[in-house]
Amino acid sequence: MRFFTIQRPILAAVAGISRPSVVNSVVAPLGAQLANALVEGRRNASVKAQGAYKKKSKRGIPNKLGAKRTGDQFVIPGNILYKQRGTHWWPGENCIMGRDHTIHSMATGYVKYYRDPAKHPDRKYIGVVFNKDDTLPYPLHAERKRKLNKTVHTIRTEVAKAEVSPSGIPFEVTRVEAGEPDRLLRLRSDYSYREDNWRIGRLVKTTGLKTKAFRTRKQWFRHRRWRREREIAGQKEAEKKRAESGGGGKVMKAISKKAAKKAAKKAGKKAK
Amino acid sequence: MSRCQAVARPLARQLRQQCAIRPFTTGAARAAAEVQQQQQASSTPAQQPSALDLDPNSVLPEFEADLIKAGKMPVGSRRRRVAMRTTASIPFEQLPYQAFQEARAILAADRQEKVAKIQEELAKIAALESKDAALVKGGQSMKDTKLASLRRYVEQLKIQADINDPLVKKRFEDGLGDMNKPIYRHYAERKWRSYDYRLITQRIKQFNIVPDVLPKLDPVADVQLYFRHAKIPPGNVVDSLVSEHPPRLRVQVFDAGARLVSLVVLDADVPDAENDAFSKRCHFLAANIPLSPDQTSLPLSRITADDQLAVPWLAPFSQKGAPYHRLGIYLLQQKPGATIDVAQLKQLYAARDGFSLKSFRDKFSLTPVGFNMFRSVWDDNTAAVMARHNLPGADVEFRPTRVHSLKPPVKPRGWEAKRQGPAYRHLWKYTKRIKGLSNARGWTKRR
Repeated sequence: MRFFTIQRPILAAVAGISRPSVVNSVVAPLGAQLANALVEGRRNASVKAQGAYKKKSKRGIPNKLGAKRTGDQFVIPGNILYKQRGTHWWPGENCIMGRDHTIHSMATGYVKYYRDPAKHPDRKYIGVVFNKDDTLPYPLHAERKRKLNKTVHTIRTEVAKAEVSPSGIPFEVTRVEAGEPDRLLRLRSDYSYREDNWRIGRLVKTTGLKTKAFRTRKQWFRHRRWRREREIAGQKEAEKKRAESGGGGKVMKAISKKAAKKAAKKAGKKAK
Repeated sequence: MSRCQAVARPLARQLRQQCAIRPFTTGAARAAAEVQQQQQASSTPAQQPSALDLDPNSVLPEFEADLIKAGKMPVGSRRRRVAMRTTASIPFEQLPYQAFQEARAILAADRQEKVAKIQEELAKIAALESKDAALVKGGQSMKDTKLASLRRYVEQLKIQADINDPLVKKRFEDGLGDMNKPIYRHYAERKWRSYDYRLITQRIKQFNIVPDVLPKLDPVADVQLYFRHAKIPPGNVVDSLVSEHPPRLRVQVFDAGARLVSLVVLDADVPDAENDAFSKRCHFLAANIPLSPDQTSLPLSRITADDQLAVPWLAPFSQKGAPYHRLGIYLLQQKPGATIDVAQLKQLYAARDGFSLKSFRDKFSLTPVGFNMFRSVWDDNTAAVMARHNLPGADVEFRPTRVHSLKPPVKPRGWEAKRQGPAYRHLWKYTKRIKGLSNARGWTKRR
């Protein structure tokens, strides 16, 4: 490259000289062609491309980090004040830090960005104050500023329900039987006494019956899987046996090794 | 036992029986005689187990089997058990162990040295006291500094003199130590600092007592809290029925001398709904209470004298829904010889509400020395307690104030939301009465 830049006037001169001499020729000489291409900045396919790695991709998904509330802005509990990767900012007064280091407000008030050398020499804090005029950090050893954030209500007392219906019969009766749990029967709209369905459901527990053989659903599924595996294995075995004994017909009874040995011994004795 | 030892052992026993045992103390001689007797007795085959043989702490090898059969395992090694048989009647300081006695002699010598030094220092103090301040280099202030320094050194020496005495240590651990003596106070303070002090400072920190009630609080006295004879660990939530009656304090100070203290029980979390804030309330205030290292019991119910009790006990209570109340017990030491005018206190703090411990401390120049705390919350008994003491506010509850979102309300969206109006009456069978969705107050977002 350097050679060409230095030699450019010479090359130009060469080109100038060569052009009038071949006025009618369609194709310029090869040397001149190459020189021209280099001068004009064209690049042929034979030359490797370079520099593409420096180009940034046009679009990505933005993380949308940064301040979401400015200083002195009004916030309520739960508002996000700052999104960040790592802890550029720390939670100060009435703020907390989330799982991804996001700073949230924990009170109704005004945002303050500040430093607190008494707490840490080089941390930046975000805090929320109740009064806009307050400055953070609060003076050392001063009483904390707290808000009650509660309102007074009179306690509602439950209205006692009448025990007897307007028709003079009780709303609830208890059926007591020896050896059985007491049953609470309630008056229905059709003037019948019946137990609540949910109470009937509870009765199952009093019987001491075991409704489920398996403590957990997982155990049951595991048991079913194993059972099926065993079944499939047994079927395969039987099929093999059948094939060995001559393809169907009489199926040999499965005998354990020990039993087979015993039978053989017995047969031997009889033979003697 | 190695083979060599096994061979040598009977030989050694023979030799030991022949040569006289050098008695270290009379107790040792007696013990030796006893051992010899026992050895002779053990050589005779048939014998009855004595009372000592039935005790797992002192059973001899030949009776071990019987004892194990009876279900009692012998304690410790055989050597130890023999030692226990022989030394049970000997006072601790006369135990017949040579190394022990030698060590005691060394400690006694060290103590003598320390006592001599104390006397020397006391002489110095007397000399300096009698000396005119003008003759001392540095004047009166230097004389005072020197005297204080010397006295501090004497106190240190007093502790150093006794700190290695096993009997002193034993007496302290048995709870028999005389707290008027510096060594026992030293032990007590060391014990307190090792755990209780740390616990109480942790409570001061975690319950924000320090910025909220006082700007600085470093306890130097041990204050324990008892409600109905039960010790309450600092910071525990106490049932309102239990705390209805005043507690008993056990106060241990670790510096010598009698002093007068003021006692304040302060609730730092009284809800103030009008100002949306918290205020403070005095639950008990007493002054001029005498206290010394050997007087530790301080029942609040016994403080009734006119020159002591300023504000009587008010049962701690917490209204329903309010956050827990921190009730701190603050012990403030008065200046030596100064008494507080209780009539003035009564006049100042009869209202209880808005009590500031900081201003009380400054007004009467007190120093906080002890702290303990408990908490109170609304419980099943609080309403009854409040009714008994004519305290208003049992019929109200605190509920969190709703904070509304800053975002503007959005119109409901979706296929059904769009078709709620009468124009889509023919589609109402699909857009209204959808299962699991309340549609009573117009179309709402599914929650």
